[in-house]
Amino acid sequence: MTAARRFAQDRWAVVGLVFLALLALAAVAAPVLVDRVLHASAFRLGMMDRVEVGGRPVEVVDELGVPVGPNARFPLGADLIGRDVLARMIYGARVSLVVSTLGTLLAVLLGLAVGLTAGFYRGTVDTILSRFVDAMMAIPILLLAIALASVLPQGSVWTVVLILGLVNWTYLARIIRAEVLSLREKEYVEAARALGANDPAILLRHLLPNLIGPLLVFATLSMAGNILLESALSFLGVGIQPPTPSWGNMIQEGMAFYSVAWWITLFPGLAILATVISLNLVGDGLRDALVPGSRQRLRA
Amino acid sequence: MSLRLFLFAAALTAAAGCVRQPEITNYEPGPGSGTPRRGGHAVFVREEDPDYLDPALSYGTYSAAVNEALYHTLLDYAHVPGPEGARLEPDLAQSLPDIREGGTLYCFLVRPEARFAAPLRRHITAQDFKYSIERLFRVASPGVSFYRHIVGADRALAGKDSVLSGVIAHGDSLYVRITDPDPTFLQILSMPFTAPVPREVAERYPNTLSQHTVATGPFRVAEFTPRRRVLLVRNPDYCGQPAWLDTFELRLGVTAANAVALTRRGLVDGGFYEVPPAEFVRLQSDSAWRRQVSVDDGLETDYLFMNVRQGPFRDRRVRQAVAWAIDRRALLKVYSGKAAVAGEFCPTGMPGMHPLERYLGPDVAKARRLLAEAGYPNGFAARLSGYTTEPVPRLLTIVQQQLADVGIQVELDLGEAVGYTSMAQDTSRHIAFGYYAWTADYVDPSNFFDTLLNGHRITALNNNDLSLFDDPWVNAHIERAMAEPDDSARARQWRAVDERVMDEAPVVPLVHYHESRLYSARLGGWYRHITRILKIEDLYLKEPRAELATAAHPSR
Repeated sequence: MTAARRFAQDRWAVVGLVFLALLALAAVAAPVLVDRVLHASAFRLGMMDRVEVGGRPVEVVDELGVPVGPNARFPLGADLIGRDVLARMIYGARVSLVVSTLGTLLAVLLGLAVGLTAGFYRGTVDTILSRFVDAMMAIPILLLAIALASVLPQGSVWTVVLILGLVNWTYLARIIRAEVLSLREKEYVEAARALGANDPAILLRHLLPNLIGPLLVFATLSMAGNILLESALSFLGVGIQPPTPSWGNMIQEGMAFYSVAWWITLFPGLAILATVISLNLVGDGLRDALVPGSRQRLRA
Repeated sequence: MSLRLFLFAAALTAAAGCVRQPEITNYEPGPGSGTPRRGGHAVFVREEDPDYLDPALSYGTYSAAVNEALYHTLLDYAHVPGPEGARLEPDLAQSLPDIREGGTLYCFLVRPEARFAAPLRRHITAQDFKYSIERLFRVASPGVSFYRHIVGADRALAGKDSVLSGVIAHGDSLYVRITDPDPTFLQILSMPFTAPVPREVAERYPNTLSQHTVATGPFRVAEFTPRRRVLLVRNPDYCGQPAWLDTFELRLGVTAANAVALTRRGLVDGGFYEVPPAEFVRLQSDSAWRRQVSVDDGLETDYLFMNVRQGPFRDRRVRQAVAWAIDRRALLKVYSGKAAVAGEFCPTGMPGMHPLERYLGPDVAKARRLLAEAGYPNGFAARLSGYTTEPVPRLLTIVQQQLADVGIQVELDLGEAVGYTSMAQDTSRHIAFGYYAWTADYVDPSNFFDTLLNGHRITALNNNDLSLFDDPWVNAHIERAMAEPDDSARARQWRAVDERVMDEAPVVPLVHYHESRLYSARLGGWYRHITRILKIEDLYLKEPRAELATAAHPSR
């Protein structure tokens, strides 16, 4: 049975994948979706506008600063400065997906480079790189991320991508190193070496293709972690800066009012929850499909 | 009933008992109108520790009330709410000073019964005041610039002398000589910076005086455990009106949201914090608790400053365009309505000041026209500095959008609130455009115009003129107004300065913020003092209504 067929048989993984595909589609089409379908804006302030709620016109944000909740004009309510929560969530999906994907990609590149080098060359190179990885892993991720955020230019998407990449690569480096330590002893590697293949050729043509499985699994699970970490950074005020919406900074902005304007924090929170669960389901599905026997091993 | 069901019911009842709110209606609502009673223990809360318990070093808004309860000086403000509270009265001085030599020499007589609190308990002499004022210059007090007019202060500021020739102590007589007449000097002298500190204690604990306080006010410190609590007890050695409460406890490390919950449960009587916006909304919708919320003009202006020596902001028309672009009514909602639109720089609650109602736009067309005239028909890009403490990010996001509507593309640069002020006050950082808020230290417009916009006060570090605004007309008129002894004439001159400032627009006033505080139903005597924020010595515990009724009808 092929890996694709094994994946397709995992219903929950398929549900996760469909959700992520729809989310990605909404994120890509955000300008069209928000402007032409929802006829809303993620950025325009509507504080002084009036909207009909329960048959009477009310200001989008009342005198005490409380915005209107879900209604016909604002399906998921308005935020504290009168912007459409749904429109901002759609734009926030862009930020969350782009940041987590690119952050994961950077972590994969770094982890792959370090893991391949350490596992393939072993000896002193392995000792130095592995101890460095151990040292990096000893630092709590959130603290490291906050420390990096304070020294890098604040608030841009690229800064957050860099932070996510720099704090996450160590796990992959360990996984890849362990895999390479095992793979380099395989007969086909010996055969390639006997045929005169040099180190880069063995690494790229023989070892790397055999690492695709664990890489994909790590990437999907890591993306889920990155979405949470980006949200945490934005929540702490060191991630994406306003007015760019991200699910994390939307929650942060609504926190002070959660008891009277729950919709500002609830819906972005649900979006994070659904996306992280979907990524985990897809990650589990990929693991089962690409690394046959892993579920049995886990169950054992 | 089975045993399991009984236990469940008992647990529910116990839980309900734990969260039962005290009966707020047991007490007369508001700050109370009856006769205060002496005794009792009040509990306040605050998130951070006081910055210092040293009168020379403390300058934090939320630390002020505690320090002002500990450290009294020659004069104090009247213990009444409203503008009447700006009236100065003798405190450790026997009377208001004799002012001689054309308003340049202030002669005080220290009260014979003025004493330091335990453990010293000795008479306070004029020499103690002289030592304390000179100490301000030695410890680089944040208030030192207020006293730069004292004769000899220039040498002390330059580090050439450690004594002030303009402060002379002789027994209980204290003479303070200033270089030029200054009608606000009495108010400056009544700031807690001048509170006497005993030399023998200050020199023994030069860096830890906060842990070895010697009070001169109605309370003294019984315990100060950092990050835990400050416990004040009534000071029996204070020579003025004694405090009503026996003890006042300030618990530290309590967030504002928790403080509101604790107050509603009757576990706390008040605190030094701003009522969080959501809690404010909920309290306002509660007919009983809304009476316990005090919303008061704190004599504050929240404003944008533009560095008049940098980029597009050199041009007055650009600065005016920024002023015309802002819709201040929208900003009021960010503050849950606890503010007034600022059409002038000096708060209108300041005695003698009136609303100027300038730039009450927004007028987008006018802003665009001014930008075009200044050579920016397509606007320009700028970076707007601020900090991440709510509601500043929300406020600046609105400003950002409103400026974008006239073509000014602003990138927000928000950092931690801690350190923002010192960064903004460092002229080498070249901050072109930023947000700032200023609350009056004393009741006089000079605290806004002289402190924040007098070009003669620009310094490389600790610079309060964040716009680097140095207009000769404004400088001269500020100094002229400060020397004017007639109140109505001074008020006219301050209004003229305010008009000119609004025309030149180095700053764009946004709102005059109003503070909000929550107090328990049993606490009486609270009011927002015009300068002292809260006078702890005026607080007292009210009689419960049931006891009042019993007293009125003893036969029952």
